[in-house]
Amino acid sequence: MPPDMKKNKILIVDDNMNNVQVLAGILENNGFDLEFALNGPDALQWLEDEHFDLVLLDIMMPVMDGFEVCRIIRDKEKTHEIPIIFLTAKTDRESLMRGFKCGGNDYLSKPYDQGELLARVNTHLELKQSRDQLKP
Amino acid sequence: VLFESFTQEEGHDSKKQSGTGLGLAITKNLVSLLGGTITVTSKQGVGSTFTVSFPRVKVSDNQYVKDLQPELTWEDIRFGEATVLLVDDVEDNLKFLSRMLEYAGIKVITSASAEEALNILQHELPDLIITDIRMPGMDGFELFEIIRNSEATSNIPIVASSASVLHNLNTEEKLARFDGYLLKPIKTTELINSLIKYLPHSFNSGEIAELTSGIAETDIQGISIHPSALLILQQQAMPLYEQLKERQPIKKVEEFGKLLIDTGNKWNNKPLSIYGSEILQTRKSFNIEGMVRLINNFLSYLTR
Repeated sequence: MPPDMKKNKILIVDDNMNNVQVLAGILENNGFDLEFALNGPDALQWLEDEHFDLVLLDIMMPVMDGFEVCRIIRDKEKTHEIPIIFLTAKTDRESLMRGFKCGGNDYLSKPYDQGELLARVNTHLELKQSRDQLKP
Repeated sequence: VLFESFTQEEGHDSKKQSGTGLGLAITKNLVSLLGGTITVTSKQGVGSTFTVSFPRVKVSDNQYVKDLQPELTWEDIRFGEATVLLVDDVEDNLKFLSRMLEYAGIKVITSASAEEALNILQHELPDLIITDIRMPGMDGFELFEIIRNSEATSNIPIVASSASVLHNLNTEEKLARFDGYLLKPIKTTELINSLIKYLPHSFNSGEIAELTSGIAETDIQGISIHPSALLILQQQAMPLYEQLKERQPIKKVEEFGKLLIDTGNKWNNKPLSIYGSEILQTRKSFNIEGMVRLINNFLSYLTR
């Protein structure tokens, strides 16, 4: 990536620190800027304070689950267009549909495949950019 | 004939025994390159004894010198409840690997063939599968495909273990689809690194405990922080610490670590520099648990 190009910034939201470690390692090695939050309220605070290009959001979290976090993100003017990719332990259809219904753009199932992770992240970043360009 | 290339006993079941017929030829060449000899005595129906001898071998006297690079050992990690399925047609490999894993407290299921592994998977879902590639009957690649394409098992991580370095583009492509690759003979660190990727675990905080106890010691010995350093810690590091207690923005963590290192270096406070570089290390590896723990230790510096 050329140095003058702005790095895309990703927020990783997962209560499991090992998952954060794996994701962050892969993403940083591939030229992304990132921050992490270990719970939903922290994630929302981050999104309030700073601009992010994409959110990786775990579903099963204590206090506030991923669906709830997703709904709040979608309800806010500032963040309602941000691409959200759910992180799921299983490709369990029901929760997948719930994820899409509450505004998720995509999902990734654990354990993460590096290629798939990067492909999905890049696809949604590009989609978002195209949508932004289409705006009047 | 035994030691010649591409010769194999005739009439054996190729399903049970397969190979290129190069093993003994390569062994003989290697042994003679090293100045040794290889001999064989064999009795039909009983077995064969191969004897390799090397005359006048110099023995290193520093064989106990440890590698300076800190590598992960079994003692550094505690694994949670987990089951690993091992697939290998060579019994010794199964024994060797399962001993290592059982030592680490991991439950092991072994199977001597891909077919057997598939049977096991009908009623048992392991957290990780480590499979040999070259096996008689179904090989590791075929096994991989079946496991990945079956709904019940598609999410189980599969690590390949193989002795051959495969330069074939086709096999390399196939191997790349695995979740990991262990080259035989399997090194402990590589095995541990694969395991911690996919199995629940926690790090024994030996390093961190050592570090904090080091700091405590200097405390007792009365080596105080230079007043100028203390001022920097209070005016610059303290506000950062207050933020980092709540959450850990990557850039702030870096700033905090660097500030501690610089201050430690400038005012000749080695524990402080070490403390700072430990924080930077956890940031580099995204070891968040360690990062949070280290940051929370900061007050032990100022409350004296």
